Amino acid sequence: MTPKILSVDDSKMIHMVIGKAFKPYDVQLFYATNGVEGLAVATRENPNLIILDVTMPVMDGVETLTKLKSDPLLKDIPVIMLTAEAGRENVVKIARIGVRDYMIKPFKEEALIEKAGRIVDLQAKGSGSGKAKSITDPATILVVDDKQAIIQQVQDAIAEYPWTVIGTAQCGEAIDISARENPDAVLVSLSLPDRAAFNFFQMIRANPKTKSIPVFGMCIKTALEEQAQAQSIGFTGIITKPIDPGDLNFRLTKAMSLDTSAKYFKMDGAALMISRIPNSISDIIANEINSHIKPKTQEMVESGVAKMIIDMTELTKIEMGTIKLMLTIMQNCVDLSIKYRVAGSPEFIAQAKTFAETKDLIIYASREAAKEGF
Amino acid sequence: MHDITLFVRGAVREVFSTMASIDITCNEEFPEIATPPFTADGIVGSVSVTGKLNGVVYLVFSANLVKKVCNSILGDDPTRSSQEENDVIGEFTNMVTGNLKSKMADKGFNCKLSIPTVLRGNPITIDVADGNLSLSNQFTVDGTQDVISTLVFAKLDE
Repeated sequence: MTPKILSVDDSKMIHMVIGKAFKPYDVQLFYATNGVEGLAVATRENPNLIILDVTMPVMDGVETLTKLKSDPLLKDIPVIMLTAEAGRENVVKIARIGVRDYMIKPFKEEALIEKAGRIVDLQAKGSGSGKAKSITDPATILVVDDKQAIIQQVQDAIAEYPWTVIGTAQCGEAIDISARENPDAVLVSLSLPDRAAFNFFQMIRANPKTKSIPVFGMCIKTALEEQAQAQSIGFTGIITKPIDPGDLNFRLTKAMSLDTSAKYFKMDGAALMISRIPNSISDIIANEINSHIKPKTQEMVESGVAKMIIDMTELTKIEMGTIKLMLTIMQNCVDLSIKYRVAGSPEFIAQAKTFAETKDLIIYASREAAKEGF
Repeated sequence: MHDITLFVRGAVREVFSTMASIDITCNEEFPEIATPPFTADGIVGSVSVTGKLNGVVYLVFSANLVKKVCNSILGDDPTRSSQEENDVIGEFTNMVTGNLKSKMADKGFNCKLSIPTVLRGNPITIDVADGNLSLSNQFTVDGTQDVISTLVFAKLDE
């Protein structure tokens, strides 16, 4: 999978230096010239790393970092802060908000690559397959917890995916498993005795083979000290117990940079795309679907597929967020001359008539009905 | 020699060497104490500092040196826009001033920096309205006649 790196800096020179530094590597680079743009690109592209300048107009790096860390969608993205100010006060301030690393300007390209390489897997161009890993591909999740119930909860939470959970109560064994199996992600309990999770994390990061594996710490919501410690040493994120399956899935797929579009967009035969909207969409899910609409519809047109059914039959309750999502898909279809039909449950059809945006929309009672004569 | 002069000398050399792979040498004969107004010919980057150290830091580049620095960092381009050049000058001035700020903070003079400004003109006259420090440096690029000057017009809140 190709790592995505976002550079947020008001200086074109810095963008060019960063572009030059990463040129030999298989990465996708994105650029923004201030914090506001940076947050928008981060939301849209879900980068694996953000290189963030401190001094910028419109929104500076410290405010941008604060906003990143308070957004559930973006808080796990590792950030390398770039600053011309090496003073202790400045460094302590940005470290407190939660940066993975920082660089003092002026900097050498090699130093940036070295720091970035500790966070993302940098492969020389042409050395990898370049194919994005999808949510439908097999993956291995290592769970390190001395409570078997937690390992089971993780297993249940990800049951819908073809992922394998390996559970262990011992960090020593987890180190061996990590080196042997090279898991796609690791969840480790922060409350294991003798700070074992923190030592385990440092050993994982010290091994070139495992250094890029996303590692999440698990703890109860009120264990704030453990959470702060884990964040300060660079854990990918914190999963709080009791585990929320939706949140866990979302954060694992993001950390593993998996293409999640197959959850919502699937081909039916060679000429029809089905866009499936699940019931009770959270902001996180709505955002995820939104990020796939444009690329998926463009991909359809490029591969000669010109029909789509927007399947809302799972929905029992219609909300503004759902309507907005449906209208976005419809608008993209119109823009790209894709023919579409909408299918909905009886509840959806009844409620759709009460909204100005959907009252005149023809909605078929099932996916099969929408396919007839289409 | 004033601490600020020492800090600026170190910062300018480091920025040129690290970002542009250009080695420069400080002209020891150049007077440390500047006598405003200062007349510059070329392109000037400036960053203001406010706090326990109040004032403005200027980097004065000759037009030829700006082209050299830009070519070294961004690659050769005979049609490069002045906007791109300004960006490089602004960033260099920001790095030098950021470095000075850190060193001054360690001595108890905390301050904040503005976003860089770039001035072009022939000539540009830089004067000081209020300040007890007027410090200057001059550097030459090794093996050439290209020159860069720095000016710090400031007041220390002691």
